[in-house]
Order: sequence, then structure tokens, then C-alpha cells
Amino acid sequence: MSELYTYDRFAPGTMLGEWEGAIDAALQAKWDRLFGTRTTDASARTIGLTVACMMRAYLGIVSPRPPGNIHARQTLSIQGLPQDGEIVRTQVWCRDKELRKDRRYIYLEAIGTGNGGRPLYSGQMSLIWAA
Amino acid sequence: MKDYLEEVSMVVSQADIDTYAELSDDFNPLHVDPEFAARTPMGNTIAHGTLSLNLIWQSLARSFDAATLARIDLDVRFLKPLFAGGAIVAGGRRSPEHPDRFEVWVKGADGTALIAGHARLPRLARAAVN
Repeated sequence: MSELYTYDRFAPGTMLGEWEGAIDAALQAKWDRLFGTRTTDASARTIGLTVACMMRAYLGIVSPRPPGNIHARQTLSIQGLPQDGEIVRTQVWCRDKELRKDRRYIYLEAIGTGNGGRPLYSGQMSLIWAA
Repeated sequence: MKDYLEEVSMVVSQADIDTYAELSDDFNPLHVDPEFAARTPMGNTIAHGTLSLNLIWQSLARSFDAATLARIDLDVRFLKPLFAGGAIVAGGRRSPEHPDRFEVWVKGADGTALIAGHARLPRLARAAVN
């Protein structure tokens, strides 16, 4: 089993790993179950599933984690939307970490690209780390 | 141009949270394990912040066309937790100073902001100039 990702293990400026996945019919069906199937929501579904891909990348790479981390802040820049079935490649980086008011803050960035390396998104997460 | 985004609402059940856990692969016990959550300061399971964020995407999608949403810059803070069973409503208001920028939010049933920040739609700036 891999070593637990505790606060001490994060090194700012390092890439933590790469992840690949696609927005497939199974993910789309889950999104529809949650948020409905209005045709006007098509862009919302693609963006929402892109964010889900970002979370899958982060959680797949930064694992195992201590239980109880809190997602405090999110920035997201969408530069292009993935097509159905397009492979999304995501790099996850540790950008910074700090101790503030007895809390452990971890700052991660996920950068997603599509076919041919076309830019899809970058997202920065501020997380309060549990241990 | 629209000054307010169309509001979107939802009641988020534990089953919804469990489905979103499958969607995002985020099985943090704060979201999916009521017994674990009961032993934390939260006291109960909470929804993923990115679940609630989907209502902002829907609010934007029901207000603008797909081309406008091909570029978005979002910056939000997850201010307060949404507990399982809670109702939320998402919306937004255009910034008076920046035509391409909206304040966006997700509020709870009592009007308290759970998520707040802004979304910039660069295409709207070009439209304002043209």
C-alpha cells in the first residue's frame, strides 16, 4: 500500500502525477440522474463533468489521503470543452502549502488537455488537510 | 444583455451525494459516511462543494449560449457546508463595472451564501465592445 499523503509529504513546485480519463456515457448518465436532462443544460453538463474529471484526477493521484479533508476554494479556467469520449489528460501539481490558524492548507493545480494537447482547463484547489 | 442569471434550485439528498461521490470518485467519509460525519465538528454528512457548483453551471447555461460558455474563468469560495437534505438555489448578478463578469452564488434555504465568487465570460467583453 502507498504511503499516506500527509501534509508533510507535499512538496511545493512538484508534479504529483498524471491521469487520463474520458467523459463517457456512464458519467453522463450519472450527471443526468442528478441534475436532469434539459437541453439548455448541455454546456452545464460538459463543464460539470470536466470538473468531475479534475476531481477524479486529483483523488486518483493524491491517494491514499487522510479522511476529512475540506475543499475550501476553487478557481477554474475553462479554455475549451472536451468532446464526448475525448481523452482528458490531467497533470496535478502541488503549488504551495502553509500552516495558518492551526490549519494545514494545501494548494494544488490541475491542468487538463485534450486531443493533440489542446488546452481544456486549469483549476486551483485550496484544501484544508486533515493530517 | 442579461443582468441576472436564471436561478436554479435543488434539494440535495444523501442519495444525490452518494451519486456525486461515484461521479467524482470522491468518497470522503464526510460526504458518504453518516457515522464518521457525526463524530466530526460538522455533525452530519455534507455535499461535495463541486456538486453544488453544478447549479452555477446550469444557471449560466440557461442564461447564455454554448459559444459564450466555451471560455469561463471562475473563482469561488466554499463558505459554508450544505448538509444532506438541504435545499439550495444558485444564481448570479452582472457586475456594474465589468460587463463580462458576474457575481455568482449558491445559497441555502435561509438565504445564507454557501458558495460565493465570480465568473468571467470573456466573450461578453468582446460583445460589449462590438
